[in-house]
Amino acid sequence: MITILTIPGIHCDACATLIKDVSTDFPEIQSVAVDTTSKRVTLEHADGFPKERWIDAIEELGDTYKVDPIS
Amino acid sequence: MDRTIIPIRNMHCKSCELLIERALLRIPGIKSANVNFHRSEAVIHSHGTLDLERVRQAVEEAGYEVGESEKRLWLTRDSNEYGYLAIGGLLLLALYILASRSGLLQLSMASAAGTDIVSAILIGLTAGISTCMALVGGLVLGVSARHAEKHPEASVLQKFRPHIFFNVGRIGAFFILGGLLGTLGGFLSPSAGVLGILTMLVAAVMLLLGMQLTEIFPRLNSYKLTLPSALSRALGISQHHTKEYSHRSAMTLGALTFFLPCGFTQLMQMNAIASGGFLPGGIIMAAFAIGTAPGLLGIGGLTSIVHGLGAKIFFKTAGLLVVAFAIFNLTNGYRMTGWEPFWEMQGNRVPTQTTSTVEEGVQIVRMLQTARGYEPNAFVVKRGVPVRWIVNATDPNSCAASINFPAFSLSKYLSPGENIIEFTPLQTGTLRFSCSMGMYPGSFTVID
Repeated sequence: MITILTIPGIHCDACATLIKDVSTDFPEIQSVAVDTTSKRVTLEHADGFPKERWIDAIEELGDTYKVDPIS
Repeated sequence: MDRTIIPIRNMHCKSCELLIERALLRIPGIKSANVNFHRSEAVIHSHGTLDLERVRQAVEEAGYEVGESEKRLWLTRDSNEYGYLAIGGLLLLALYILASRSGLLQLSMASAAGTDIVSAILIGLTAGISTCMALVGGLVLGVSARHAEKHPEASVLQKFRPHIFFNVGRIGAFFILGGLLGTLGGFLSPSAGVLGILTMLVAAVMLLLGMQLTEIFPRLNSYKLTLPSALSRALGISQHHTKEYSHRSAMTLGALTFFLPCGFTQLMQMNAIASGGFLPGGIIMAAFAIGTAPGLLGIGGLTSIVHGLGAKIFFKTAGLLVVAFAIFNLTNGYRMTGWEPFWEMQGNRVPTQTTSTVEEGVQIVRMLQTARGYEPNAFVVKRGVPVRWIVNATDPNSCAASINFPAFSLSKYLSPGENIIEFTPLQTGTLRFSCSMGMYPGSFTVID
């Protein structure tokens, strides 16, 4: 399954690495792609991936990493 | 619990801090890690001795290096930067040609003579894209582009909001101070020398901001402009980096532009003084400030919407433009002080000088004022003989209508038609005059 989310606060490669780093805590996630220009994160994951928990983990990093609710 | 401070290189933002903190906390024994990219260091609390080799590994795996930051170079070695700079330069040249072709550089509002609200707004509109743009706009561009470049993560609205507050502060201050001018007269007018030094100070700030924007001089980026702490407290700007901006400081900055000697602003201030009342004076100044808002908001808006490669070229172009404005204002400010221009000292530029005619023991000098300055603008007069300087003003709404003669501490707003200024030169040498912004110069050479 693929989930695409937007995090408007993404602005550099360090942000991308950070998001990938947080994602490694989730065994359901198979791959993470972060596009720093479009601010889009593409997650490839198994069924039953706890999306809300992932969003919480990302947003816990700081105000910069608010996940866009529309996506 | 042991506390260790590790220097770390190559961090540039908050994300870098978090990334390294996470990596460090995975090392057994480390209880807490506090990374600060401004100070380029990590403060680590650990049980027992810290395994420095593992720390180094963790930091390097995250993409950073352990060690003191190197001193940054004075000149960048990145050839791409020069490429973008060249593109920026060409863009600016194209803009300049466009501006001079369209007559933007010699704007005047001869058709909108008068002091009613509509013409004040019209003059404001003109000023907002010409002389005020060169001074106030240059400053706005420098500060906001620098801010946008440093904070690419800020949203368009976040970047644009300061400009709204800046202009609100500007309009408010113009109303109140304009009203005071109307009631109390010219008490707020500092001398040309003071204004000249003020202009040069602002120009120096612009020069630094402009050069930082080009990113050609990495070393310069370590210099941050900070106001003296007492002043910044008074303005509501804290030294701490999280508070580097506040709406109050943006408004204060806008308000202070009342004192920046842009030619048109001074012209309107003269009108406000002449209006003779709080309300009319305030309204004239406020209307003028409202008129300048579109130009100033426009330049601010540009800095908030650019991103990506466009931003790179935009910031380079903006940097060059700010540097150009800075040099323009530096020379203007210098002229306003009436000091000898050092770039003309060797006599490498001999202006065509006009001699005076003598009638009944008075030397008569005639000069024409237009939107383009003064013609002729270099005169030869004799020492000890009274001079009657007849200035025929043809364009009351250009900045050249406000004339400044530091040697005799004279600042005068020329009324349309003939203006007579009489003085007696007592020493040989050169007496310089200029418009009140310093853009259009002229001189008297006094001989025996």
